[in-house]
Amino acid sequence: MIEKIRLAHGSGGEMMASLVAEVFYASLGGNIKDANDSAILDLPSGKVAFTTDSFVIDPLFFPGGDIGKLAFCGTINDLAAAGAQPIAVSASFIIEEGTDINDLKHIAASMGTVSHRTGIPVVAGDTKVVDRGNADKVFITTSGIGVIPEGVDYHPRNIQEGDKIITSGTIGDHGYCITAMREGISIQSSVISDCQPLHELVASLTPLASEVRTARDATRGGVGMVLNEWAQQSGKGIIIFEDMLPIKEEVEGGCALLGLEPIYLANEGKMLFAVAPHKASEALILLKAHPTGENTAVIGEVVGGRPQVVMETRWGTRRLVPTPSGEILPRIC
Amino acid sequence: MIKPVGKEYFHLLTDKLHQIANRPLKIMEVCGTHTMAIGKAGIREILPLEVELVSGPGCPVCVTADADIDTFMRLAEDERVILATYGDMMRIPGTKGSLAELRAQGADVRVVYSALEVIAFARSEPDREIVFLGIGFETTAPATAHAVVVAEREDLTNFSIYNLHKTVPEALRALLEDDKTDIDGFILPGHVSVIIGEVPYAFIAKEYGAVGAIAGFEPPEIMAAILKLVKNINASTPAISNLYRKVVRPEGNMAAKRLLEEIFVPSDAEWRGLGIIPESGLALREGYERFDATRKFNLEHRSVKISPGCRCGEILKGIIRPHECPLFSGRCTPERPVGPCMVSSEGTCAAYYLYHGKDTWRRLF
Ligand code: SF4
Repeated sequence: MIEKIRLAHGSGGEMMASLVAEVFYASLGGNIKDANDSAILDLPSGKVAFTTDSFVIDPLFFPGGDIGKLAFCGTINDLAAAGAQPIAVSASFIIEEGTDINDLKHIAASMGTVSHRTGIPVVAGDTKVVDRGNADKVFITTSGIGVIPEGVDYHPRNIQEGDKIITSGTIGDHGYCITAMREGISIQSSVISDCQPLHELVASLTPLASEVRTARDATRGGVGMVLNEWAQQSGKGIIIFEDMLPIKEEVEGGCALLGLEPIYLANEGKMLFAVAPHKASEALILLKAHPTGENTAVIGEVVGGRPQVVMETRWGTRRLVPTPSGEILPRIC
Repeated sequence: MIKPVGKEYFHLLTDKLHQIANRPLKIMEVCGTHTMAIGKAGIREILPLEVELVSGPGCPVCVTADADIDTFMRLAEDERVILATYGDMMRIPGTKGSLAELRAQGADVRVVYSALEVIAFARSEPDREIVFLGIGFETTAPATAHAVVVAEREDLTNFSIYNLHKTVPEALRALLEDDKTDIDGFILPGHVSVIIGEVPYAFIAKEYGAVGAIAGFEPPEIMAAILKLVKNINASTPAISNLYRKVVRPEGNMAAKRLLEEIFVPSDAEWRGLGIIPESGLALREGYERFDATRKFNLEHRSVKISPGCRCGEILKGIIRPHECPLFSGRCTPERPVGPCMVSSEGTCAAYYLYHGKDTWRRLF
């Protein structure tokens, strides 16, 4: 019989202790003996970046990852976007009564795998169990802390006219993968989520830090969302070129079928950068040299005019790329 | 990256159009799918200033009357009832909120992709009453008709339709009859035409001396249609041209047409903003009335005022453009739509908001 989470797993007794030990300590490290109410960290000097995010994705498991990997990478990437080197992460799990313990083990294990691979520890955590129906299987909140190296300041207000807009790879993979699964076209789909940590990729640009204006991981709302935020925050216009956008053929075809636009699909392993024009080709070389940045491409530039995003279409016409509105696909992250 | 087929051809057509457009013309793209394709490809931006494209009443969601939504929602007061419809309908506000809100309050409202899914509910939940909101033009009506055929064959007594299906040609006639509109030509809907063919549009040229072109949805196909229309107008040749022959046969899809005829008869229908248009609806034919939710549940139709200030009616007729509505982009946005033209993914106001910006309607640059 598959073991299920019961309310007793959350009530602080022996069942909870064994759940924490078997599921979480086993994958994420740590042990009861050393446990304390707070993790104590030694931070190198510099500005500290601190971020938090909740993950409620449905389905929990998808090609290329699961909610555990997603929650870890999501927080790492938020730190990375600020130019920070991640130091540590915390993870809180809200678990619905009736969830398979095996699922939970898988989720913790995949979180543990990225944690070990990146050397970024999960130093604090919490679990709560709620009645059936009060959550959908597993929700995870991760927070992360990192330190920003000297000279790095990736704020969108730094954006200047002429800057090149760069994406670190193909657009829309995660959002498409999840949508395809939900729409039941995943059987033929070869697109997997791009869920991956990007802090090393961002760090590879540190030598150009003074010419890197800003960075942002293009998650919910996709590239379209980030660029609109940049346009608003910097007060500058941005133009992107449709035929320069790296989009997998299947994503493009599937989107046409489903009435979606790849620029609004979520990514979980792609960083957008605005880089000073004279350093753009250098940035491209550095990013492409990193395994997570192979398909890096320049997709547009910052222009004068109104703070809006415009696309030059493949037909040679121009149209607006507005802030995504209405229903951004729910629970994709 | 999929390379566009015919980019050069597209520009050739555009250049041609610039050469021959010599007086102000108003061309209506009837169908919401065209509206979206035009917006997405930025076609309005490169048309000659003389040629104005206006959007028509061809988004089924947009032309649904408030009163009809209210009536359908009232069905949920009966706890046995399951309401089923296409996803697009969920957010359309009636006077008492939308179906999405109704569902949030606990009503059993289900989104389906096909009418046959609804039949499956009826089979598997015999204790419940399943009411399908049948909506759409000639494109989706055959699917509803097919569901009726299946329900009849299986003698399903717990399945019925709240039927809002409408037909396109009669709406075009109403537009041409309206003195306030001044439309010179129509880009006719590709998908609807697949079903009905060319013949039902003949009156546009014969009786009203206007022009029409059935078009596909790729930018060169749309541009070719505009060019054809302008050519015919310049030459004073009222005609209906079929530029989508690869899928639209002159006689349409005979099997689908037969099915529609077997199940439905033309009836008057209320269009939001346009009012009652004679013979523009599809009522269940004699012998199938038991699948008519209006009869089955004794629904009375209470007419209501449309959202105050919303000018969807004039928008759907191509009389004003979205930015001329005082609510556009202020009180009315896709997140908080006031009228249906802003709700539907194919609505005119939504398309302009998306692709043309908040305060211009034509030239972005
Ligand atoms: S902008 Fe909104 S209120 Fe105005 S006509 Fe369009 S849908 Fe109606």
